[in-house]
Amino acid sequence: MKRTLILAAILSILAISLGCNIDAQEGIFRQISKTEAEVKVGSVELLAVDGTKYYAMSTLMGLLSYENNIWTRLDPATDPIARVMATSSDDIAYAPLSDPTTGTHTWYLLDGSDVPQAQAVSRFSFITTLHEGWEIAKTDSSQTEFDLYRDLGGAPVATDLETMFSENLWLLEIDDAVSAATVLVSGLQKDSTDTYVHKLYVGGAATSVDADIQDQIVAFSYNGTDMIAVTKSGKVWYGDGTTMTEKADTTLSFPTNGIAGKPIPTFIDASGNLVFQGSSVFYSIAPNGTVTSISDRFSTNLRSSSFKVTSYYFNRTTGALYGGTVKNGLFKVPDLAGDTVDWL
Amino acid sequence: MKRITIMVLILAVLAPVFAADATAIGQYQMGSQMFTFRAGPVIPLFFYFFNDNPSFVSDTHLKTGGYGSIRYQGFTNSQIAIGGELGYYFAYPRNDDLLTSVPLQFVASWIPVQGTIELPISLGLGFAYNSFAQSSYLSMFASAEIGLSWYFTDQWGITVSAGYWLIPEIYTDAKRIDTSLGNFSPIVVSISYRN
Repeated sequence: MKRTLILAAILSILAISLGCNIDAQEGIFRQISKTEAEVKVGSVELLAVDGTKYYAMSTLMGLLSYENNIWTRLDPATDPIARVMATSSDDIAYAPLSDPTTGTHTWYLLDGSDVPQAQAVSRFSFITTLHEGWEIAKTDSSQTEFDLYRDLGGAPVATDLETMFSENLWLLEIDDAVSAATVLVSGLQKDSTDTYVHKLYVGGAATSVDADIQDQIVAFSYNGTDMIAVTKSGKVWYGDGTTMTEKADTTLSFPTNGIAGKPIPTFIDASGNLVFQGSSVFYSIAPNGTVTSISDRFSTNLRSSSFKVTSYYFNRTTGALYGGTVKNGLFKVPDLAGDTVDWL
Repeated sequence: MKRITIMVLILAVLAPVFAADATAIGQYQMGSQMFTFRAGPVIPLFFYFFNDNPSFVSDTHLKTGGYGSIRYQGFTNSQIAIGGELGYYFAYPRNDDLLTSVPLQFVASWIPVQGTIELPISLGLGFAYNSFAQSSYLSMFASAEIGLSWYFTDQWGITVSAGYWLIPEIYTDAKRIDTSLGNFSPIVVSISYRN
């Protein structure tokens, strides 16, 4: 009888123990074994990589370069940056707060010696992408109309977006090497609070994405033929853009802390798969819609819930992946087939 | 040669202990009690992930932490005491998140050498509530410990002990790849009161 009681007590403790550990996070010791020192510049978005030099926007220090373990501030400390991006040729551009008189931004471009050069661009930019120089802006002559621009160009790539969208829209870029001059605009329809519209722009020509997708698109890929769209609620759609099919049996979860209100950070690997960080693993979505969880290879040391990736930069020449994080600065994955993650 | 030197050193340290034992009078009897306040650093040893290759992770990314506890034991005979211990352990990893553990364990101690100098050997088994970042985990907890005590009065003594903790983290669901063993070594200084 006594032995039975002891056994029951042990089993009860074990049951309580297992019952208390059902959550989406990794195991505690796994999380601990992957912790890395936190950087003192805050959350970092990686803009571009130039050899051993990295350009990043940080929440605490503004626009920075990082080389040989040294962070260097690049923007004037007296003028907080309102918008920042890398152009399609990896030049860094930033705009301080708008001029209170005209309501427009003055854009600056860093030349090769990291000296800001004022650009002859005068408009109110309110959405930019990180890596391909896309921008949605209002001109100084109108505070209601907004257009799509690229690489600080004077002429818009597409106009009259205000006739289709409300102002709360998201801009999702794609690497030129995957599909040239391609960007997706996703958001609420003009004057609507519950109807979403999505426009795919390829070389300035717009295509309406299947209206069945009635949710915010937070990640996408497009290779000229096949499109993948991931919605805010974790649903995956695949098709050619105009006709899309929802994968009814799939709902993905991804960390949103620190990146709320923006498209989730993604990259497209050498095989054309859309890859991004999930809550506990990485996801890879093939152009045909096949979803694969990645818990090995580069994900082994990067999938911890300790790390929240804010941005990726995939070098298609070397196959190296770079990224910025919310707390841990920058990282480099030299080879996506391996499990090495170098914290910079 | 090195091994022989270490053995000689250990014997040299223990010699006075056993010398004391030869003259010691049995200190305890059934019903004797001991209260202990304990504190000291805890050295992380390694993690063992069953489903990883390699499984052994010696760089835990944990810094040396701290532990404090209270222990109460009653003697069942002249050498064996049983009781319980409630403690609090904390340690920082490489980032600013904090690992905490609150172990509650049943403890059995054998004190073969008694008197002014004592040599307590203890085994513990219980469970611990572990927290880290956004996660928490109720685990089993096992410990083993050997100490060296000096009683500077009849009732009050100080003990230095070294031990081993085993904290298993067991999952049966999709997280079973994270099933692991946490291994730690506490170095504890204790103040004991006995009657």
